[in-house]
Amino acid sequence: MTHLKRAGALLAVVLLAAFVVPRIIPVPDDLISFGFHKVDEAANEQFWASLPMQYANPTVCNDCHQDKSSSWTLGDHRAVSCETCHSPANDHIAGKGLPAVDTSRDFCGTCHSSLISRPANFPQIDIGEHGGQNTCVPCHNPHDPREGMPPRLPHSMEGRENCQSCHNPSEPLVTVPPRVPHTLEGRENCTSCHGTTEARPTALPRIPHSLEGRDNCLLCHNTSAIKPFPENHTGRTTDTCRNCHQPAG
Amino acid sequence: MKISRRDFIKIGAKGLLAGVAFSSVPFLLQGLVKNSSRAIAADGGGLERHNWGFICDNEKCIGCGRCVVACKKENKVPWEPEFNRTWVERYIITEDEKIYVDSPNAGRDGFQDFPPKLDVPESEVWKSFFVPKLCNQCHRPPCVTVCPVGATYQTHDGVVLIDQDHCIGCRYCIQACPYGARFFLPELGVVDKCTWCYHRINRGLIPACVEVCPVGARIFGDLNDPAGTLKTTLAQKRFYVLKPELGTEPKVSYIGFEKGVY
Amino acid sequence: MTGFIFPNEGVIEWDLLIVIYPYITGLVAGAFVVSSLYHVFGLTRLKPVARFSLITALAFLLVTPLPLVVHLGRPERALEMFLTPNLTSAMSAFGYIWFFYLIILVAEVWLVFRPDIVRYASSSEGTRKTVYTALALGMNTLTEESLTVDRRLIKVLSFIGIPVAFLLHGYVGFIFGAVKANPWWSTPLMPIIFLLSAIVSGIALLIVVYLIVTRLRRAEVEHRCFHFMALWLGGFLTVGVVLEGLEVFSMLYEQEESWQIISQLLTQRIAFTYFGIQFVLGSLLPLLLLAATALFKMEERFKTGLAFLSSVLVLIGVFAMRWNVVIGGQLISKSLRGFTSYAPPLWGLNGIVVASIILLLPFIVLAVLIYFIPPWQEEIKPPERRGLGYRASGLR
Repeated sequence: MTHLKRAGALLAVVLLAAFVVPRIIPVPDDLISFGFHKVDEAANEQFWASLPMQYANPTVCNDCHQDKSSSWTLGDHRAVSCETCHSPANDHIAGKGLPAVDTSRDFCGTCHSSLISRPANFPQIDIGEHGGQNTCVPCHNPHDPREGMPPRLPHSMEGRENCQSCHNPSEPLVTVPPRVPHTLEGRENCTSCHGTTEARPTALPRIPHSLEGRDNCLLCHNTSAIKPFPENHTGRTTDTCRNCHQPAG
Repeated sequence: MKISRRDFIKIGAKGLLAGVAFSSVPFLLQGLVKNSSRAIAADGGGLERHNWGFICDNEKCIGCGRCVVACKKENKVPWEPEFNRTWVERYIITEDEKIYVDSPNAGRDGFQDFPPKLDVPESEVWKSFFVPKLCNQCHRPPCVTVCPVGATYQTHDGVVLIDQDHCIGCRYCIQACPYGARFFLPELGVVDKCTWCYHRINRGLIPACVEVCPVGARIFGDLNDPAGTLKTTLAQKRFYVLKPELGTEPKVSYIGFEKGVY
Repeated sequence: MTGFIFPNEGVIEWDLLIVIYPYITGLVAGAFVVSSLYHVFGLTRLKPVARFSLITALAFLLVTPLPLVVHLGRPERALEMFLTPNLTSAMSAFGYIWFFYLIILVAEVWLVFRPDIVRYASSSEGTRKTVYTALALGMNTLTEESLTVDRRLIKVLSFIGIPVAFLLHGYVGFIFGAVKANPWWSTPLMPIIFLLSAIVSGIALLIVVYLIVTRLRRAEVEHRCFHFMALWLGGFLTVGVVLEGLEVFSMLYEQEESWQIISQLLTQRIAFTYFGIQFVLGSLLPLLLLAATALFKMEERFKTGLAFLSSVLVLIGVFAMRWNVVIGGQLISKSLRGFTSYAPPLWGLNGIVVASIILLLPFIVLAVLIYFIPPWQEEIKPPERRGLGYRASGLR
């Protein structure tokens, strides 16, 4: 059966040539690595882990730009990273040019133009109507967009439908809660300018104790008393405390 | 001793086989050793100590598309809208509960007005929202299972990566991914996908898309960290994952509107 | 593109080349089954095509990896499939199964044709003698003893060959059937459906090529053998059609979430290639024609003509089936909300021209094989030199 032996030998040679030899002879590492299911995972992980970055983060920006970041940290854009608008900063940090800023209406509109799909409590404007066709920056400081704007309400609107019951513009004696400093003519809807707290909840401190037998708040909380109210509360009377502060629980 | 031709071939073949088998041993061992040494992160810790997770909050997303832009810039993803490691979808559900979805240019340029293709008036919209998408870094990734050469793999911190020097470009993984998260780079002839910015998270930073999100609709963190934002948010909110019935165990959790979101 | 597709889904990644890949593999499996029916199951009526089917299978098997390698993004790394396989991947098995099958097939062809090769080696001269001597591995003698061993080996090899051929093609079906992300692919029936359509297409191919080559040789068509093949074709085709129908019917009946998009796929996107070509033209019509040849008395020539026509239709139908699976499955967006579109380009590596060339290659290989080792049993004298026309066509 010589022919079968020769065929077997030929087969062995072919198998060696096809499978084994490419592994034994030196071949480029990236073409063939040895073993079943083998990428060099550790090396590849390290490759991905050590790629260069384009985006830094606000902490890095703050190192040089405190002037901007001080107003940014207080404003409504404080949750927006610098590079969201200024584009990636690492080239700039490395001294290669300034991050580009797009100040067009359309750019602000990417977030703030009114869309039915956007969460209702997110500030949106009709990009075609709002403020003519001017750019946004002259009116809105992008780092603190509500700077110079009517103040937000510090309290929730729940159970307080009638603003004037507290903030009466025609009764100069009542100075606290703050009096409305402007006329109400043509300004029926207060919340159209004075944003509600839903967008920025600033919970007012609740009264930590029961009110039983404690009708006179000022007994304890007057300026000269044992636990005075804050300095900006001048002119408050016992009647007005519970306009804002509710007992806990 | 007289050796016939047949014997010569026989002996030769046996010798060759034995030699090959013997000389392959060091290679095998080398492979084992390589496997056991893990990479070290830039912050000094091993890469395996984390178990990364991700939240997308549909209730917060405003569809500005900054994440898509940031991803492309951070990871040098081709600018064309056919190549995306992350994208944003817009869902519009009408009063009669018909669901329309679109993602113009993958959300890269944000979203303009009401979708022009939709033939229902805006007044008939029942609800509408945005859904950010990215690789789910599945705990049981089907893409890794099907790769014929093992070029894609799961790291010990749960991220699925591709060794693009090993990928042969057969694109089976693209077929196997139920989420459309993978794409083919024609110029390189290999497949690419989201790495959750592996180079950032291993430097103690957050992925670029999370970094630039203006409304906090994307949350990144460590599932092993019980006090972290990720874990505490998941503890408080109702959330879901995409296509749970496929058993891929995605690690991106979604908060908010669920019906019809695949 | 209609409806919504994920942004990354705009490109059909598995294109025309991946359509012809399972087509070619299927033809291999089918042709091999015919030769096995003779060699293993002793269906002597198939003797006239037994050797022919064997080299047909070999010719197509040799071309099988080509569309895959051409399709790879990095074809130069194709060898990784063999060298660093990921054993959980169905695809990584391809290289091994293919290679194993190639060895079996080459060995079987060699053993079956060895008497011829030895005869040619001793009777021809010059370069041809060298070629045949090399093919005979330098053993220019035949003993009765060696021929007996060969016959036994042939039987063993075709016996092993059947499961391997089934594995080779069943695995192709599994590649698609195991993709849970794709509702149109993901069914356990897929390997079986692929297998049956493979056998069907292989037999049809043999019928077609056998008839054409016999006519070109001006030889007599072995009608008994021919109609026996047609009978087997009808049998396998029936089972295949039933299974394909069953698959879609159970999808329709179960009405899962994905049915909506699949029904749209079938009725809008691939309605023509699915109902029109795959089912009516490629399955029902040939079934009717084959039934007619079996049931009604008709002239032999006419009967042969109908069987030939059925086989051509089956070949077209199976190609449409491959198209509907491979392309159809990718038309569906994984968002289940829309479809992408695909029209193969004419030029380029993924184009119609290249695909046609690849589809043509096995026939050229087959012609070369027929030239060197003519499978016709009645013709035992060594091939003579003939005019260029005949040789170039390879059809002797």
